[in-house]
Amino acid sequence: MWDRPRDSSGAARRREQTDLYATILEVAKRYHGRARITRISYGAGMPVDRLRRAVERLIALGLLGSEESEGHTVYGVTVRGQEFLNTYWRMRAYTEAFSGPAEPR
Amino acid sequence: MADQHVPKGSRVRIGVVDGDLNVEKNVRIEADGRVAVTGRVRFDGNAEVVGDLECASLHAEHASVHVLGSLSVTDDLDGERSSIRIDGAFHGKNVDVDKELIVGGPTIGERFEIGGSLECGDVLRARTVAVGGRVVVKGPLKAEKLEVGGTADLAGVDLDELDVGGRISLAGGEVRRSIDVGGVITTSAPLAFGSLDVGGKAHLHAAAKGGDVDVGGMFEAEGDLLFDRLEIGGFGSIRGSGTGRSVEVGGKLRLGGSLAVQEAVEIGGMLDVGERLAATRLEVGGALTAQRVVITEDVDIVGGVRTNEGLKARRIRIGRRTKVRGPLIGERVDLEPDADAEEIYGGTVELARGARATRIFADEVVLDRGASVEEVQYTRSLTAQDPGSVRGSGQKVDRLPAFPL
Repeated sequence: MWDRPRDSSGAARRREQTDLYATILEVAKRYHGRARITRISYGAGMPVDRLRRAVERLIALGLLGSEESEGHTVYGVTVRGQEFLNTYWRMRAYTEAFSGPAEPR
Repeated sequence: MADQHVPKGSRVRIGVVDGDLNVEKNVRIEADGRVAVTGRVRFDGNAEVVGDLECASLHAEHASVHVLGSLSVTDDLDGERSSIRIDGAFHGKNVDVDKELIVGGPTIGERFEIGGSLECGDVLRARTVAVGGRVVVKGPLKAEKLEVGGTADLAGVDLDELDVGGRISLAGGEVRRSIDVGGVITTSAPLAFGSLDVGGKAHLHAAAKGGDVDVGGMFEAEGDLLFDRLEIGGFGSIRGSGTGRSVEVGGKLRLGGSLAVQEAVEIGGMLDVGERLAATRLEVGGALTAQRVVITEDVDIVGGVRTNEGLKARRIRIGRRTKVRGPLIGERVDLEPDADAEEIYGGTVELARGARATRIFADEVVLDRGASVEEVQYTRSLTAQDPGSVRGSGQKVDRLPAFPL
């Protein structure tokens, strides 16, 4: 469901691990701490089995938190996860700027 | 009350159902005029409804439901692991669909919560819209709040709040409170906003006006920009003019027109203003270029200054080895060691060790060791550490020439 990341020329590039992590966190963030794995799966456009591995890694890194709610595991972005997102988007903008033909006019 | 059951794989013609309608998978329902169900419609698998469908509520499970007409649901539309496609208009209350909702016509409801994607071919009106993945709205969008995890492609908007995780492209409109975008925002028509907070890049192709603007990476505005506080982590470019309360840029800021700021302008790198710059305070870590600069309080520049008409402030500090082209005018002007200026007009002008100026017109002039000036006119005092500091004439006068600006 997400557009692929793009380089400075606007061409789509392959999603890297950090892109996938940012995608998952941005989708989970919209559910305000009550994101279920299926909803993240549909939002991020990733199959659930692959998503589970990434979610486990994000939890281990402290970027995503989880808790039990009404018999389901729900996920939410941690403060550290939000810090990652801020850095990720800022770096994406710089990378696009630096790899472009010239600075913005 | 007579509930109706449609077995799997069947093709039926239905008109009015006074009760619930339970539909198994791979069913095609043809409307007898229209399908009107007083109770709940439940789809347990893929189904197609040829014609308009009206019901009190609709529940789909592991289903792909296609309505080849309009859909009107009095209460809730619930699609568990399902996709709902409506060729005509949709009218409902609470919509909760896991995969996707695609509506060809006008879409009206109170609350939309979609896990995957939402596509509307026409107007969308709601109280709140939350989409995990992608949203596309081809007509005007009016809502209190739109939240999108991934990307949004919108026409004109009339919103209170807009929150997008990835990229958003919108024609323009008004967002009365906040716009919060993780990645990139691109607009193609004028935009009004309460505040604009972008993690990555903002590219506004038309004029924009609003409150605080905070962009982590890059900011580009093709038209004029009206703001309260403008903060840019990386580079900023405004083709038109900028008007606001304060500006803080980590890297470089360039304007085609003028920049008028009520309070401070703080630039880590270079500031290039095509026309006039006016503010209360100015700090530039790199070089400053402008047609004319008028600052009511202090100026502190380290990298270089180039103006056509001059730089005027109450107090001006030019950093070590900084080259100034264009006149400086201030109540107090300090050139730090090895700085190099042309004409300086001031109350008190002090040149530190090795600093140089072409001409100084001031009440008091102080030249440190190794400082030099070609010509000086002063009304009160000239203090020079070295006798040869004044290379040409050093003249005490009753009145100084008129200052520029």
